[in-house]
Amino acid sequence: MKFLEPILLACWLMGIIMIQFHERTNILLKKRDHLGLLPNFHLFSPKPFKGTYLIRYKVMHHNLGTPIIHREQLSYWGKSGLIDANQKIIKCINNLCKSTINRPDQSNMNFALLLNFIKNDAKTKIGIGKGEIQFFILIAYNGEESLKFNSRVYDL
Amino acid sequence: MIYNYFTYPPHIIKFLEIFLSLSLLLSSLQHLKNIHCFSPQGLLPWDLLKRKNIYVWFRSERFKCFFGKRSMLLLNIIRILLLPLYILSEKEEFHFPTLVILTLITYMIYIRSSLMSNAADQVNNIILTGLVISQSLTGYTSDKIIIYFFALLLIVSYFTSGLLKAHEANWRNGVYLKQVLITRNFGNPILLKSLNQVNLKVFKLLSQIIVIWQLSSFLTPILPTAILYCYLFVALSFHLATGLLMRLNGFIWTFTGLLPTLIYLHVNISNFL
Repeated sequence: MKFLEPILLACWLMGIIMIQFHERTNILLKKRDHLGLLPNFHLFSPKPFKGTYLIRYKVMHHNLGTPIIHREQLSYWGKSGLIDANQKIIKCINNLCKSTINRPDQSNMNFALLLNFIKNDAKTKIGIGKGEIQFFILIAYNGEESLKFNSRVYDL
Repeated sequence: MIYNYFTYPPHIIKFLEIFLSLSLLLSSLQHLKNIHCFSPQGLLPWDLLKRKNIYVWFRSERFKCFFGKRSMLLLNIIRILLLPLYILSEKEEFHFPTLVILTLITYMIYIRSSLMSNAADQVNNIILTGLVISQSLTGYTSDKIIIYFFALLLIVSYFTSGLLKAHEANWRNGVYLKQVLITRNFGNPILLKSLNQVNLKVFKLLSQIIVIWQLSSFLTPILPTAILYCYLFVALSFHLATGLLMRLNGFIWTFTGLLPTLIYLHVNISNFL
């Protein structure tokens, strides 16, 4: 049994080293790493984003007839204390902003997280239980704003 | 004195266990503070998270009760209560089962809150799993190989990070370091304004110190003892700074707990040479 320990640990360490430097191993192992036992230390060198993301969303409540427009700024989201959840949201926004405007919405996990965050924000701030929501992502840099993404209309 | 203290494996393991427990305690307190996020109306409801491919095992409705807000609350409270038991228990027949239960609970919390987790949480999982493997195969007192494993893990983590920074021109000239520290996502809101006014040359110097320090990690086993102390001092300062400036509090405890493993590796390599 004593020989088993060095073999197991050596294989594990080899996996950790491979995941850092070999792209194919990274893709292969990352899918199977449910417990975070093969960390990618690239995360230790984060790249900052220049400018500010602006998320503006429009909530449409049919009873009132006119849509209520509400603005929210992403940089304030740090207050929730969920730093890493916000990083996932920013990652999603980065992906969305890379593409051209009006592309089909991504149905991935991070997008669902972003949409959920915006829906929750709208429910808290506007206090409407039912209605429709559409959001826009803009980048503000040096006093100029540019539209990067507009979503479909979703049920609130 | 410190050098001699960490030449004895049980001292290193005990030190690591205490710091690991502090890191897990901090993690659980942060989860409890944000417990509202785990409710169906919160930011991280289980229905949303289980769409992710890695949760394919847990898609069935019967797992729902393990990952709700109440179970998250319960898991974190149990983990907090287990931590003093884990540190204070000296007997192996009591210590090992506590470690196994603590590891399983930490896995469950990690699965549920992986979106909130960072590299410190992943390293916590590695430490717990490594200790379970080591103590189940060789017993509590003869942990030598696992200490080498932790030391090499630390070296790989620093070296990889240093290599990536060295490749980026903006990390080398300090631009990225300044930008990272003044973003609201990574930075500390209290220090944002004062950091923004600091000259870029200061960040360039700091950035280059960090890159050289991280890249030199693979030399730690063969460094002269006095330089090794300097290396460990920079490491401690680095983790304290990331904790205070970037609010990565878990890193302080997890990585500081692993630093004595470098001393142990150094002692044994020096003896061998």
